[in-house]
Formats: sequence, C-alpha cells, structure tokens
Amino acid sequence: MGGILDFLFGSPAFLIFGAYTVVMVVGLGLLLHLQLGLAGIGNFGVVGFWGLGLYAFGVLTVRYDLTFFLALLGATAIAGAAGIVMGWVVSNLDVDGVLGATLSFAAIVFFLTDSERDLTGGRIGIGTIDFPFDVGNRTDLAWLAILVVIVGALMYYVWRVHRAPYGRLLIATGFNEPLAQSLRKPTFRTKMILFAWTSAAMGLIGALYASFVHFLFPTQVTVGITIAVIVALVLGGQQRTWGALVGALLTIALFDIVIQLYVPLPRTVFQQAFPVAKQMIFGLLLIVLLLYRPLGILGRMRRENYVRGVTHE
Amino acid sequence: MSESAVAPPTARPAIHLQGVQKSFDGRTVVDVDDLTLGTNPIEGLIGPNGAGKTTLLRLIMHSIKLDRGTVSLTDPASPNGSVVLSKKPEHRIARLGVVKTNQVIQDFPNLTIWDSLLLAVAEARSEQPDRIYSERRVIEEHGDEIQQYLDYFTFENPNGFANSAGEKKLLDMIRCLLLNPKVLLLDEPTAGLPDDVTEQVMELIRQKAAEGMSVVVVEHDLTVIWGLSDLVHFMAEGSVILQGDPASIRKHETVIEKYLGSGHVGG
Repeated sequence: MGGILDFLFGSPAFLIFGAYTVVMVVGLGLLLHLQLGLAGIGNFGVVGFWGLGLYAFGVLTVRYDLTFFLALLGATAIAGAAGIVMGWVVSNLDVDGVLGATLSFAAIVFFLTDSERDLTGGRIGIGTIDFPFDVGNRTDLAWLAILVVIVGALMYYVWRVHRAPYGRLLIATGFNEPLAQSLRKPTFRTKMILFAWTSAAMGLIGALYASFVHFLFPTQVTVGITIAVIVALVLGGQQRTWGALVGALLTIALFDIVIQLYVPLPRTVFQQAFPVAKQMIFGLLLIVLLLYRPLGILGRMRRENYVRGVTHE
Repeated sequence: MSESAVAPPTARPAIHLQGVQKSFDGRTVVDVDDLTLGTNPIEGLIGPNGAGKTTLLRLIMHSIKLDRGTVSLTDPASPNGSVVLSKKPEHRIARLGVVKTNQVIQDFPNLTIWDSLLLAVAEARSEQPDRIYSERRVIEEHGDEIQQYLDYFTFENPNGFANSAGEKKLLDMIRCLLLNPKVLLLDEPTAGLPDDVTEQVMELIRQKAAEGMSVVVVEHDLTVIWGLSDLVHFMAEGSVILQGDPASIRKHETVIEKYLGSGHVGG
C-alpha cells in the first residue's frame, strides 16, 4: 500500500501536509467569506487570529502544561477576545482603515512571537507539541481527517447561513448599513459578534495546526497565510459558499501538491525559487482579479434562485 | 393660526421636538422651538427647498446628530408614556415604532424583493448566528403579509431584484410598513411614481392611518398633501412657521409668497 502511494503521490507525508494546508485555507477562507463577502469587513489580518491561536496553544501546552482540550479552549478564547477588541477598533473605520488596522494586528502578533522569547522561544521556536492521541504512523492522516470534518461542518454551516435570516442580516449590514439600522437591525452588535466568533474559529484552526506541525516558529505566522486565504477566496468568489474551496483547489492545491508532485523540476528549484515565484504569482493574480473580476470565478450571489425555492415550497 | 391653537392633547402616538437645532458649517438648517407631529392621523410637512424638512425627519430618526434639543415619542397605548429618542441609536428608535422612508432611493444590492421584505419582518431572535433553520418560521409567520403587499402593488418580478427607481421607492415604503410602526415618516413617498401608483400609495397611507398609525408626509407633489393631510405644517428657513388644515394653508399669504407663488392659488 505504502509503495503504491509512494509511486502515485511521492511521499504520503508530503501529500498529507499539502492536503492539510488546502483544507486549512478552505476553513479560513469560509470564515473570511462571512466577514468580507457577506458582512463587508475586509480583514487582512487572518494570519494574526490564526497565529494567535497557534502560539497560544503552543505556549499553554509547553509552558503551562495544560491538557489538550484546556489549551484548545484557551487558544480559541484568546483569539476570540482579540476579535472582540479588533472588531471594536474597526467597527467605524472605512475600508482602508479596516485594511490598515487588521494588517497591523497581524504584524503585532508576528513581532510578539519573535520578541517574547520567555514564552515563545523567539526564533528558536517552541515545541514539542504532540497529538492528543497516537495511532502510529496514521496519526497525521487521522488529524487531517478531523480537520476535514471540522471544515466540512463549517462549510455546511455557511451554506445554511445563506439560507437563513442571519445571512440576510449579514448581507444587509455589509451592503447598506444605514438602511439596515433604519429597519431596527443592530448592525454594530451584529458585526462585533460575527468578528468575535469567526476570529475565535480562526484561532481554533491555528491551535489544531500546532499539534500537526509539532514545532512553532515566527516564520509560520507571516503574511503568506493571509495572502493564500485572500487569493483563494477572491479567485473562487468572495460572495459564494463554494468560493473558498474552488479558489483553494486552484491555488494552494495546484502549487503545493500538483505541480510539486508531477512537474519534473530539480529539487533545488522547489526549495529555493518556487516558494518565491508562488508568492509573486499569487500577488499578481490578486491584482489582476481585483481589476478584472473582483467577484471571482463563481461571480455574484444568486439570491434570486434561492429565494424562489424558499417562497414556493 | 398660532401653534398653541392646534396642539390639543394627543390620543395618538406622536413625536415631540423641543429646542431642536442643527447647523451645517455654521448655517442653521433646523431650528424648531416646540413642535408636535402626529396628533392627527396624517400630517403634511411642506416648504421650499432647503427649508429643512428632510433634515428634520433625519434628526427624529437620529441618523444625524442634534446640536441641541430633545426628540421624544409619546404613545398613549404604552405604559411608559413618553420616551426620549434623541439619545438612542437609529435601530432602537425603529424598534420603539418610529420609522422613515428615504428621500434618496435606498436599496440593498444583492437582496431580492422577497429577501428585502423578509429582512424587514424578521425578528432579532430569528437572526442569531445559531438560528440557521429559522427561515421557515419567518416565512410561516410573515409570508402572507408580504404576499399581500406584493399583490397590492405590481412588481415585475418579485423573486428578482427591484429594477426600476419606482419599484425601489415602493419597496422602501413596504419595508417600513412591515415593521408596523406607530409613527411613519414618509419623505417624498410618491416622487417619480406614475399617477395610478401614487393613487394606490395614498389609499394605503389612508388605510394605515385609519388603523391607528400616525403618518407624517413630506412631499413636493401638493395634490398628495392636500388630498391626504388632516393638518399641514409649513416650514421655512428651518422652522415650522404655520400650521393648519390644508384649505387654510394653501390660501395663506405667507405660503403663497414663500412657496406656492400666486399662480398656484387655484391649484
């Protein structure tokens, strides 16, 4: 079995790592879809909330010896608390202000991981963080399966939100906030609650990643994650449930799995030039998309189809 | 025609403005000493452009801040009596039963006509993040009411988006009516509508007022004002300077001089 996998996919460990990244980006993309695509909050600090969860989990398990579930809870709560603070900060800012504030937040998280050496180990890193269970050499795969279940549940939730009054409230808040207020909608509270729980969920996804990688370094919480999530979501369709999935398959899955497995380039190219070239291509792709197709491959929401289904049941 | 002559104790929901002032860049736009809106079923608010009519309505809704003064809602049916509105955010004011249509067309891009109306009727408890199965209940509770409005007015495609300015204007009003307000402020509700639809709107307003809603209409189409209003407030340079029944207001020399012009007397 292992031999066949090796033949088809190269190393299974490599494949699991690639798949984990894809699923994680889909999960973060779904959360960003709720913030940006529906509620109109342009959060460019995804890596900040994810990274806060990642490092909080690492610090709580390694430095404070908390059990897995307590550390997971703590990391999620810390990211959620940061979400409340940032939600309050950005609630009355315009698009540029939100972009600047959330980018700055991500930068603060990065510098904290580097500078707070007593807690984070700085550049030396922090570890080892183990899985909470051990099923031999299939533990990585089991962890991936758990993430798939969580992100799958999140995708179902988002699909339902599009068909629930809550989704309509988010869209109304995002697309014409004063009009929503005049219809007795508490838009400030709506945005705060959304930002808090989606930030907490980003933190949770970060915390789960800590067990998967075992060792944490500041280089893991750089802007690359934010760019990956934004490019995937914008390419797929920021207003659509499936946008993050489509986009992640066409970007991360293509670059981190398909090309690396099937395009015969020398190993040194993949180690040195490829990651840089990938970031450049993502950046260029984002510019082209925002210029020519800001709503991505899937395009605008199709609420006319959905409402017809509801009102004529 | 002094103000005290037409301010009897109210048995209807009414808005009181006291010492309300608003300036933009040093220019006083609204300066209302003491004004009650809503003692009659339907009241008109007229005046020349720049008189401050729209600003006055927006001050009531607190969508712009007052420089000074208070706005309060009196509801004889409510045990609380009078509630001060001027410190509350707009969504709280709407919850208390004061809503306003928009002079400039407002709509939600991405929300269809049905969507937009379901948004208006949905209560906060159905809109919580964990209520992902509550759509059915909202439609069961309010679907018929929405359908009645969609049957009363003709929309090209109620399952699609409001395309014309007229449809968006009607949608704005229906959203407000679905909130079942105590006081309904209409800012040019028939602007841009064809005559037969204007007639439908007027009939609907009359019906709602008869059911107990207090309606205040700002409108430049004076046939609407004369045809609907029980009382007309005439506003100029930020203040209400005259109040009276439509017949007396349209003949009043100040109104003719400042607003109608002598050619409109026979109107």
